[in-house]
Amino acid sequence: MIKLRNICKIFDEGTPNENPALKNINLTIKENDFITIIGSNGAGKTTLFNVISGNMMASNGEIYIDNKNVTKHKEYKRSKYIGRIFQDPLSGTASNMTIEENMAIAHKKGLRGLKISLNHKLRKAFKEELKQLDMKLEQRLKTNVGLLSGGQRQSLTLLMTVLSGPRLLLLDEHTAALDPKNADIILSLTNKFIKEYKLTTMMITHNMHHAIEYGNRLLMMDEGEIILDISGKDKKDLTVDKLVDKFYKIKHKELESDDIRLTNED
Amino acid sequence: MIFKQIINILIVAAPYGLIYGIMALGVFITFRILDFPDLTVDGSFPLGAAIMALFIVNGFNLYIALFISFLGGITAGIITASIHNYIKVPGLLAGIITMIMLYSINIRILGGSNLQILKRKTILTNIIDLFNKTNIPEELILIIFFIIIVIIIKLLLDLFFHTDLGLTLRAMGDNTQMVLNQGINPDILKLIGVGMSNGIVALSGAFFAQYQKFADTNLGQGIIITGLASVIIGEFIIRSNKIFLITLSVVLGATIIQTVEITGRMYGAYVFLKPTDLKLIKGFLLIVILGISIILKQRKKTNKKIRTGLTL
Amino acid sequence: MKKLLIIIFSLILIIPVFSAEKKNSKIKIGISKIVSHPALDSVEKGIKDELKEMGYNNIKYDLQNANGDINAAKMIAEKFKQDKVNVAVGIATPTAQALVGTITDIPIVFSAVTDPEGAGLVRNTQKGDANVTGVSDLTPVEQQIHMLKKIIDIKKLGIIYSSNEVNSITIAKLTKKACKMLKIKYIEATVVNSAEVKMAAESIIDRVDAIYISTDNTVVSAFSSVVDVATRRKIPIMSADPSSAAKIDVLAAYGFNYYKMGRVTGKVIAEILEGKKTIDMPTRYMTDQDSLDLLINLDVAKNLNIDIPKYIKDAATIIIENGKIINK
Repeated sequence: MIKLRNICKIFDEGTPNENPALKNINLTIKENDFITIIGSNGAGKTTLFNVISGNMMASNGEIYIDNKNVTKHKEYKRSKYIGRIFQDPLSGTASNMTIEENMAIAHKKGLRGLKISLNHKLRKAFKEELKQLDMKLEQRLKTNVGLLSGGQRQSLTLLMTVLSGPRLLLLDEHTAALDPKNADIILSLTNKFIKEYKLTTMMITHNMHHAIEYGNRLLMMDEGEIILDISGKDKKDLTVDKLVDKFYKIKHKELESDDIRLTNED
Repeated sequence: MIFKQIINILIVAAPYGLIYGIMALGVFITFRILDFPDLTVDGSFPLGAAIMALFIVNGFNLYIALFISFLGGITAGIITASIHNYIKVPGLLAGIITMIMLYSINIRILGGSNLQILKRKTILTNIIDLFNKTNIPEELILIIFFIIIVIIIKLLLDLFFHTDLGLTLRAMGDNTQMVLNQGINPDILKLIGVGMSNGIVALSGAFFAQYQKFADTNLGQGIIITGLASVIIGEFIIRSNKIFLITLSVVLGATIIQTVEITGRMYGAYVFLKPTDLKLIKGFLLIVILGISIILKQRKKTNKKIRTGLTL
Repeated sequence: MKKLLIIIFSLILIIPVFSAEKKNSKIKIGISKIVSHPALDSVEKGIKDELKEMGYNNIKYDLQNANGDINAAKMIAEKFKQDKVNVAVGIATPTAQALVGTITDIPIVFSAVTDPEGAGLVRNTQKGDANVTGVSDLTPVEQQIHMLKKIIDIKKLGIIYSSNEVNSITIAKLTKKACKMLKIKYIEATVVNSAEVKMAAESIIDRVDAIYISTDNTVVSAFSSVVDVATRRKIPIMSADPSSAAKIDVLAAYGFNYYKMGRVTGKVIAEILEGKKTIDMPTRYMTDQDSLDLLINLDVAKNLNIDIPKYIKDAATIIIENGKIINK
């Protein structure tokens, strides 16, 4: 259970460039929620993730994970509970190390000691886990990750993150940098893992169809605020047109975003 | 005749290659594994030499002396990493700051600018005495001894980089975000890595002092270049992602450099080269090697693009 | 008229007070040396002893050691300038150069500088410069090599020196000249810093009959490594500095007694304190036979199976036998 209370984030406070990226966010994320988040550029989606993960500190407000106040905790401390996947497929793995070495690192959380990492038992377990990706990576345990394609790396990152058992999974447009075929593969894997491991997830996407199709709850953000929070049957009945409409009613202006326009056209 | 000359060159170059090889392993840890450009080594190498020399001159236990030299190096590395972590200074600058401070500290330890240990008992003289009944020439005894030392240090390092901690250190140099994602504070890893690296460099300095029979404050001048060159040449000769082979290549690289140096000194005059020209030649050699490496890497990249048809 | 007399009287009274104050006020002498090693330390001691014996009891010395660092030498020069010392003394070329480059209005005395002209300290050694004069330790290279040849008939001589010390390059040239005259093959090995000395020695040891170590500060700092290499190959060493040779296994050392050079330097400083102008003081060379010491180490000779001719043993001023130092 994750709770955000009165979270504000202001960049360059007290200067002429002052930018209130998050304004008074109040949000409760329940166990097993799969929340999709949409909004125009600059709405504050990534900033929200940064504040939750600890990459940035909130200017005001508190964050609770399972009733523990983690507002002041640094990023690496919060990583014990939070798994985050970024848009760049290269950012989740170490290129100069092999698949099995990467998996061994992701296997545990926290500072560790001088135990030899890899052994026969662990390798066997990794092989089994890799089979789920259906990319024949289980036959390439000793290959350097740097030799894999972007899609393969992002899949591996996804697998590693999921296996580490996060309390909250943050997906920040994690398919945006991939070609359509790989993007689809990753998305269906994502959905599969979330269902299978019952993960609480928040996913930022620019694809309105995906936002509607996946998850049990949808948030729309604009100018640092959550302007829409739909779940249950209301979400199931959503269409892209209805969403655009709702936005206009709330904001009295057109929903502006090239990406949304583009995805609308297919 | 030529064969004999080559053997002679190798016999002279080997101890230097091995001693500097230890130093190069230390430099390898910071520069390659941690991706942290660390100049502390110009100061931690003479630090190890100074501590060892001081203990030798005062007749203390030699193995404890070696250990304290190692600890001295670790302390220097921790200071550098701390300056970087907590005062938010770039790694390069932090290393320079520590290196400068070590200059004063080394002079204090030496009680002046140099310390001679010619007639004293050192670990090396003890080893030679041990085998003095046999007919093996002194030079060979020392070479075998250094080979054993290097093998021990190398194997310990190889093992370390296969442990959980070692893997995370390697990951940090490659992708700091990944380490953050695993709930590890990268600051702590830097303290461990830079500390360990300088400990090994100081150890190398301690052996150097015993081999040279003196220690002074200028022993480390420019030694970072020797270390880096060893790593680069090593990578050029053996290309692998296996740690076991990489550490081996570093020591080989160091040996090659010393062989080039002694060859240049002994036979340079025949090609109108003075020993002072050696630095130019070393630089030239490095440029050529780096150039070839870049070309090979580009070729690999374009080949891969053609194969996978993917633009990242 | 009365007023004028009073003024003149008071002036006459005041002058002795001023000069008395000058005699009683502390004289500040700054002495800067490049490193601490026996030769340079002896110069420093010689200066102090000479001035004390000449009756100067009111000297405040500022003794500085640059520890091999050129930048430190410059800082020391600045300090002497700021403190407005009466005389600034630079022992060895690098520190003397730093003084001359920084101070223009205080008399500078250099000591233990091999080539004052080459080092840019004076334009001409026949006379001093506006504020510079001193004592040169241009080591009697020819005499040293000649002495070595008298002890053992060498055909090939090796020299190791630092290519960034001006005085060493000068001495190397003189050595080459001396070797040519004495029909000895000249072989050199250069280093940039002390860490290279051992390898330099190893690179020439198989091609020489003896090694010559001059007053090069870098090589002297690494002296032990040269001795280690030479002893193992049974090659004798001739050193230019008898004062440090007592502790190191060289076959022979022939050169100045640096302490005596210090005393000569002390005399030069005294002349300046008495009012002599540096421009009237040419560089002083230690040419007196009495100022040269010959050290022979009989233990080393025995080890190398070298028989020292009797007349050399008699001429020696210091003999080392059975580990004991005998000063004649």
